[in-house]
Amino acid sequence: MYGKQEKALIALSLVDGIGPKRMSKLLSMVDEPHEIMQADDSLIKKIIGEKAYKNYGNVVRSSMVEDHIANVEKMGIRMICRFTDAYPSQLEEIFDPPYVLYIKGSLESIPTDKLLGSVGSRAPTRYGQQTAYSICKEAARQGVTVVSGMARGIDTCSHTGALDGGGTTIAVLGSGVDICYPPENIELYDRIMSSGLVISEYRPGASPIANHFRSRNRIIAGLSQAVLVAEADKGSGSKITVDYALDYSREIFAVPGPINSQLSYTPNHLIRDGAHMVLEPGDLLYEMNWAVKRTADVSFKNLSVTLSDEEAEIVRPLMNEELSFEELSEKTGYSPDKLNSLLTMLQLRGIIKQHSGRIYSI
Amino acid sequence: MLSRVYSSGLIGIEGFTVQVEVDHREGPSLFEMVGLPDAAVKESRERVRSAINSSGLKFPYGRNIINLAPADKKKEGPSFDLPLAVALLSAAGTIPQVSDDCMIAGELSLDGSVRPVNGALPMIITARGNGIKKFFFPYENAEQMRAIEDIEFYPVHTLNELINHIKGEELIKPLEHLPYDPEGGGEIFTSDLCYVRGQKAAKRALEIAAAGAHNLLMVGSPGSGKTMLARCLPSILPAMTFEEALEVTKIHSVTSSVEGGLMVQRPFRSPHHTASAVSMIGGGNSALPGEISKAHNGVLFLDELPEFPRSVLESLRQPMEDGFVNVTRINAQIQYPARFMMVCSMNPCPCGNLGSRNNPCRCTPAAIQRYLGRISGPLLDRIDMHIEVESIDVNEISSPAKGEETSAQVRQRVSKARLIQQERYKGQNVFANSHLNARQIEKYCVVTDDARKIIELAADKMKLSTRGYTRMLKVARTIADLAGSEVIDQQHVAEAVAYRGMDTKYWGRQ
Repeated sequence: MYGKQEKALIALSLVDGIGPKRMSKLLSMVDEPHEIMQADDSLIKKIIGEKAYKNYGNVVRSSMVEDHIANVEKMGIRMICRFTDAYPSQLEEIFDPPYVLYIKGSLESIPTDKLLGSVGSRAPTRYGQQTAYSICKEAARQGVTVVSGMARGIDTCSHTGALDGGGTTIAVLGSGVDICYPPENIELYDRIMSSGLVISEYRPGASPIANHFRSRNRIIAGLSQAVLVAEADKGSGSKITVDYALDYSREIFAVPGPINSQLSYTPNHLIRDGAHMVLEPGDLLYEMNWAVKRTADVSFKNLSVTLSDEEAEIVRPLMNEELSFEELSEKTGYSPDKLNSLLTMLQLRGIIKQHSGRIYSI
Repeated sequence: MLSRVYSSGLIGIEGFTVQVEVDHREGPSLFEMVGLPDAAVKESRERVRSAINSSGLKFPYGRNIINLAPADKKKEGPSFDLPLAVALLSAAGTIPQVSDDCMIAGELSLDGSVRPVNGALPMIITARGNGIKKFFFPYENAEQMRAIEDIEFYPVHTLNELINHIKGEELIKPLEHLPYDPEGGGEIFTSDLCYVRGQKAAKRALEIAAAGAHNLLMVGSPGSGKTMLARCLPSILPAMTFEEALEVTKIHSVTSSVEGGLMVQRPFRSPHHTASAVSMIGGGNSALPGEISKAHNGVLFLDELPEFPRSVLESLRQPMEDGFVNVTRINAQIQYPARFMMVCSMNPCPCGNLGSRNNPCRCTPAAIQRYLGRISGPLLDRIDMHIEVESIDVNEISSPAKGEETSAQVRQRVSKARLIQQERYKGQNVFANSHLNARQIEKYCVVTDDARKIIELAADKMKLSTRGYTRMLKVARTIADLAGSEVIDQQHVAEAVAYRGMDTKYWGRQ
C-alpha cells in the first residue's frame, strides 16, 4: 500500500516534537525521505533536540507506524503524502505544505483544477448566507469544487450550496477527519462524505483546538485557485485565509454589502483594495475562465409568477429589503387578518419566506 | 336528650351532608367527639364553650357524646362550630330542635360572632340537590348566594342571632335573590390593549385566542411585550355565563373565602416557574385544586415556558385534552374541572435575540436546540396558536399613541363571536371552539373547496400532525366566527395556517 518514502513521512509526522520547521531541516539532509531512517542518530538528535529524539526513537523502533496505518485504514481514512503523485500539486506552492494529509470521502483524489475556496463569518446575515449559497451552487453546477471549512455560517452555506448544485465539495477540518465539528453539522458532514471529501492534516481523533483552525486556513487558500469572501467582519479569521491566498497569489473575490454593515467590512474593503467584485455568480466563473461565457440568466432573484394586485403590494417592497410583519402592515395598510392570510398564501406558493422574528423576505 | 343538626363537609368541590348528632345526659362532665374529626374539628369544643358562655347562655355540662355522621368520612375544618353549638343547646333543651330542611355551617369566635367558611357555595349547591331549603351560613359568605335560585339563605352574624331565630323570638331576614349579572363586576382591569403600541399581529392573535378559548404560545425577544400582552387578556375575554361563574366560584371558594358575589371576571393565573407539579395539578394532604383548576374557564399564563420543569409541563398534557383532572390521594379521589386557556411566553433562544435585527444572537445552534428542546413536541402540538412577537423600537414606544384600539372594543367582537359559538353548541357542554371533539369538528368545521386546497397544500408543506391539523381547523372556525361567516373560507384557513408555521421553523420538525 504505502511505499518506503510514504512510511518514512508518516513515521516522522507521528513524532511529537517534529513540526514543519524541523521536518524540512531533516528532509534537506537527504535526497529521499526514507534515507533519514538510515542517517546518523547523533545528527538527527542535534537537529530535533533531546526530547523529540526520544519520541523519534519510540516511533521508529516499534510497530507504531504499521499500527497507525492499519488503524487509519480500518476507519476508512486514506493518507496522502507529499512527494507522491496523489499529492495535490497546488499545495506545493505554499510555504509549509503538510507532509501527510488524511482524507475521507468518495472522491478518488483531491482535484487540482477549478477549486473555489469560500470563507466568511460564522454568524452571517441572511444576505451573506444567501449570496454564499447561490454563488457556490452555481459554481458547482459549472463543475467547480467548493473548498471550505465546514464551520458554522458561511462555510456551511457554501458546502450546502455546492451539494445542492450537484457538485463536489471539500471540507478542510481543524480536527481529525473522523470528528464532526461543529456537532450540529453532522448531516452536512455525511453529505460531504458521500459526494466529496473531508480532509485534514491532523491525525484522526485530534480535537478541534483554536490554532488548528488558523493553520487549516492555509490549506483552504492553498488548495483553491480563487477565494470568495461573502461576509466577514473586521477581525474575522477569514481575513487570515485571504492573507494566505494573497501570499500564494490566488484570486480574491468579494461580495459587496451595505457600507454600514459590520459583516460587509472585510469584503467591501477587499474590493476597495483591488479584489474582484461579485455581483452575480457569472462574474466569478467568467473571470476564472471556468465558464465559457457570462450566463445572463443566473441572478439572485428570479421572479416569474403571476400575482394578484394585493399580493403585488406585499411582494414589491420585499424586493428591496426584508420587512417585518409590522412594517409590512404599515407599508400596505392592510389589516392584520388580511395580511396574515395573504402572507400565508404567498408562503405556501413558495414566493416569500418567513424568518425568525416575523421577518419576511423574497 | 338527643338532637340532630344538618351541616356539610367538603370533598374536592362537592359538599356532602353531615349530621351533627349530640346525646346529652346528666352525669360527670364528658365531651366525646366521634366520626373522624380532624384537629380543627376537635378543637371546636373550646370555641363552642366560650361562644355559648359569651352569648349569655349556659354551656350544657354533663355527658355530651357528639357524632358526626356518616362516620366513615373525614371531617375537616372549623365549619362545624356553629351546628355543634346549636345541636348542644337543643339537646340540653335550651332551644327547640331544628327542622330537617335546614343546614347550618360556620366557624365560631370566642365572643360568639360567626366567621366565614371555605367552600360554602359547593356545600349549598349539593345540599340544594338533596332537598335542603334553608341555609344558615355566615353573613360573609352571603354575597355569592344571591344568584342561587330555590334557596332561603339566612346570613348569620352571631350565635345569639341564630338562637333567637330558632327560638322564634327574632327572625333573621333571608337574603334577597338577585339574578346573575355578568357585567356586575364593575369591569376594573389593570391592563388595557390601548397601552400596547403597535404589535398588530400579536393583538389580532390575542383576539382570536380569546374568541375561541385557544391555547396560545408567544415567542419573542425580552422586552417585546409578551407579558404585557398576556396581562391584557382578561380585559378582552367575554363575560362568564352563570354556569361558568358558578363553577369557577365553587373551585375558588374551596381554597379561600371569595369576597363579594360570584366571580364575574375570568380567572387569570400566572404561577411562577418554580411551581411544583402538585401546586399546578392539585393535591396535597386534602387533595386541593391546583393552578390549572383555579384557571378553569379562564387563563393559565406560563411566563418563560422553558424554565418550567419538564415534569410539570408534561403533567399538563392530559388535563389540556380532557378538560378535567383526577387528583388521587390516600383519603380522596377527586375530579376537578380544568378547562383552561393556556397562554405561554418564551424567548426564541437563551440570549433572547434570535431573529432580532438590532441585537445579534450569540447562541450556538446546539444551545438553541437544547433550549427549545425543553418544550416537548406533544405539548407544542396541543397549543393551537403559535405567534412571534416582534421587538419594538424604543423610538416607537416613546412616540405618542396613534389611535390604538381599546380592550372594550376588542371585547365586543370577542363576545359576539363567543355568543355565536354558544348558540351553535347549545346543550353539548361546549362553550368555545377549542373544546370541540373530533366528531363535532367534522360537523361544525365545514370548509369550502378553495379552503380545502389550501389546507392540503399547507399540510404537505408544513408536515402537520393530525392533532396540529384539527387544532388548525378549530382556529379557522374561530376566525370565521369573528368574521360572522357560517362557512370556513379560503382567507380564514390561510390565516389559521399562519399560526402553525412556527414549530417547523424553530423546532425544525420536518
